[in-house]
Amino acid sequence: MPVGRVPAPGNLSLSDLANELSYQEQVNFTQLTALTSDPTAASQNLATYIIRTTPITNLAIVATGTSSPGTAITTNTTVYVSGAKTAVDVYRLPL
Amino acid sequence: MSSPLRSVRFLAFLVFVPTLTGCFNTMAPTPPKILAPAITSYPASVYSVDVNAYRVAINSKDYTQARVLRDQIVYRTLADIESTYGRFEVQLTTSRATESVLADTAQLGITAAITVVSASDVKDILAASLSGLQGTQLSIDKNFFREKTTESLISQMRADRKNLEAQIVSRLAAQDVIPTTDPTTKANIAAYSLDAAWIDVTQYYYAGTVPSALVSIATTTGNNATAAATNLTNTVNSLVPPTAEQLKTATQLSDELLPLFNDAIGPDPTKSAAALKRIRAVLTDLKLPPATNASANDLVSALKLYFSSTDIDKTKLAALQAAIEKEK
Repeated sequence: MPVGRVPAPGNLSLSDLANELSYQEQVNFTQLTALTSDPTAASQNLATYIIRTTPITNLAIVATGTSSPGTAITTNTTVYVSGAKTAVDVYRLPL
Repeated sequence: MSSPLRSVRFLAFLVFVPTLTGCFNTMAPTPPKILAPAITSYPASVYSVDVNAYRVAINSKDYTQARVLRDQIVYRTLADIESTYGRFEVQLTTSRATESVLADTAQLGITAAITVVSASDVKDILAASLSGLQGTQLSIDKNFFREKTTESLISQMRADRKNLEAQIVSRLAAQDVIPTTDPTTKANIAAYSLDAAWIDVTQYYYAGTVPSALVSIATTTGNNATAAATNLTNTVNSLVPPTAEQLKTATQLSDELLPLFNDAIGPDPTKSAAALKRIRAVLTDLKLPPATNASANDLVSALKLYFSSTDIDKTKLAALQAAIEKEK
């Protein structure tokens, strides 16, 4: 069960990255708490997870400033999207 | 005051002398006479004569003779280095072990002396000496050997030397002293002159030194770390993102499995038994039949592991979904 800081792909689009992180949350019973670019590896991100014991909704990742439904988890975070550094906001979608 | 100190010195002498003399004799057997340094060494005067003969052969375009001389010079030098290196290995092991034994003996002696000396000033002096001795030993180990064991240093030196030896021997066998052409493939073969071989021979000598081994160990470790990081990045980036349908399935399964797991390891025995029976059936359907004596935690962990493995292999998701549906 990967908890803590886990490498996440930096070559995915915004929606694919959101899907990938959500998928990892679901299959590992974890919850994303932070997303950053990996300072030690080019074009790679680091996702921070904690253990969860209750159901959870999926994530949405949008470019900073773009509106999205749900609750913001992180805002104005620079991560790798499609291989390029991009400022993003991460949201937990409503039910 | 002098009586206990004299006893400690005598005790140290009794322990120290037989131990060290014994160690020296067990480190290596006596080399045969034909391996004596005077016989295996390659005197500089003989070397100069051989090199001159090689130059004369090259100038007179007698390349066959030049190649013979090249090989002879290189192999004699390799044999000389090999002979010296063998003794160096034994000396390195012996001297480091001796230093450690000496330092340990001195420390034990000083520690024993501190306990039997009554005057506080003398105690302080002995304690300070002990600290200094321990610090010196650590410093030698840290600065000369970078805290590497003798075995790891020797192992690295041997590996580096073998690699270079293989390179030299194969080049001597395959390459002439002048550029040639392969009769079969018609490919050009570069020359391997004595001067080129000498560069490799010099590297071969330095590969058998402690500084070279330390650098080699550090480089190998660094390269391994870089390769591991690159490998991880490539693996992570090769992950195929889930489709919307796969994410939906994973979410549904997660929502269904969470209460199942909670029941399985929960306090209610009826719910726990039912949940464990279902998990066992699901695992069997997935061709992962659990052991008959598997505990509740084992069963839950096995199913969790399967579910998380779909992160890498998403095709397994459908099998899990089918098994969960079947065992409802």
